[in-house]
Amino acid sequence: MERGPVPRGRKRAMMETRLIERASDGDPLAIRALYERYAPRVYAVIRRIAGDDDLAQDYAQDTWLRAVRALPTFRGDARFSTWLHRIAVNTALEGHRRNKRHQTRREKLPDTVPAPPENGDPLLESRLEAALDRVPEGMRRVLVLHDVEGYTHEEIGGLLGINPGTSKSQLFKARARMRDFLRDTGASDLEAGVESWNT
Amino acid sequence: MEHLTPETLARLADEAADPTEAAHLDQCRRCRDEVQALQAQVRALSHLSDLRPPPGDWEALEVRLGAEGLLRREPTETLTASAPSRGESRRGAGPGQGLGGGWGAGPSWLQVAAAVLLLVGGAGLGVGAGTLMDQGERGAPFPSASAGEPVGLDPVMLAALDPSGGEVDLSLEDAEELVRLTEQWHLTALTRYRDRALGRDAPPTGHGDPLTRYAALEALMAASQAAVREVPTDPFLNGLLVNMRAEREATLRGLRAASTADNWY
Repeated sequence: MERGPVPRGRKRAMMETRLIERASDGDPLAIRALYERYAPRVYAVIRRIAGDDDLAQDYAQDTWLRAVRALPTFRGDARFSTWLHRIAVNTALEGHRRNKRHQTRREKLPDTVPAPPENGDPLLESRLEAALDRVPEGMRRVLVLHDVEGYTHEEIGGLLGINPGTSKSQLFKARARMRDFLRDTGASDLEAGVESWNT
Repeated sequence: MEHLTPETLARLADEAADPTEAAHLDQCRRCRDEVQALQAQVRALSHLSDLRPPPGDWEALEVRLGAEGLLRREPTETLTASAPSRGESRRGAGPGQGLGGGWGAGPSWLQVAAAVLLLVGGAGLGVGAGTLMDQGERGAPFPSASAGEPVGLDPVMLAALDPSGGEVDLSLEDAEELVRLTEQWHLTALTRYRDRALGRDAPPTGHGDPLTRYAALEALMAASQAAVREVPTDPFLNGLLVNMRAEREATLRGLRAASTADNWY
């Protein structure tokens, strides 16, 4: 019997389900495949929370270790990407708490290599990343979770153990700091760049 | 006139102004502009691209996964003796670990190289019949070279890798996936080459004076960045920029390492 074509999204989901099954069975190639697909997303959120390349690499590796360990318990109630993202955020925040004593701010060139932007201006992105790195840690975590990752203040409160009002006030301070840092590096370019994203 | 505070302006980037604030904004161009700039900033942050993990990240992870017994092992004669310390894992597996260590029956980079050969060779041999492929694994980003394991790309994507091939009916999504995967492989291959040619932690003296090389890479980066600004969505130019940046950062790390080694303190 001839079957019709499988819709793209469903095909991808089926493929991912198989990959996850194989990965949870310890298949190195399936684990590598999941890594290749999601490593940039995982690394991005962790790097921005950690604000440091070396810590970010440690947290990212811890995230993958945790995820692979927990794969047999993944039941598909949420999307795999959402599940993994949650592990990444929790690992970075826990790591951050653990390593707080080491978190002296350093001015240095980031080692991170951005993935090719789908839209927009890589120079603008570099400026944003550099400004983000300069925002003090507590504020930066809230800024990343809210403005970059789209978490609500209630969710951020739950993750960080603070009340939503504190999250809000940290966010506004962080935005103002970012604005200060970006003002020196060409805010008009920022607006132009954002316009190009929006069109 | 007293302007709104920076925190208030930041709040107004995505919240409504109260009547007093609204009245002020009506009269104050500076505060209005500031709110617009903050709105642009919020939008820009929500559009930030993902970040590529540093080269060597997978290899280090592979060693840790293997050490924890999370990778199914094939019968092998060479396995990693012990897990690396955190510092070691951060730096990634060295060339020796990459070649002989790790989980599988063979070195993963050789698997990649063999798989790429299989992919290209397979395409040339007319894999269009699909006998070597597993349709259910379409798009699996890491092709396998192990015995009996299907290669992870489907015939259309395979055919697209064949430079002598004709017109290929590749969707935009698949074409993007292919660029991403091959770029990843290319970066990995470049890193391997550099590690093999120069030694992982050695400054790149094999290619002349490192400072001169760094300056040359800076110039190339500037040219690549200018090109990407002209055509921001061009995947080739973006790939070039990413490679250039990776190489520049590697050179810079080498320079830093050499500089630290030279310090007496």
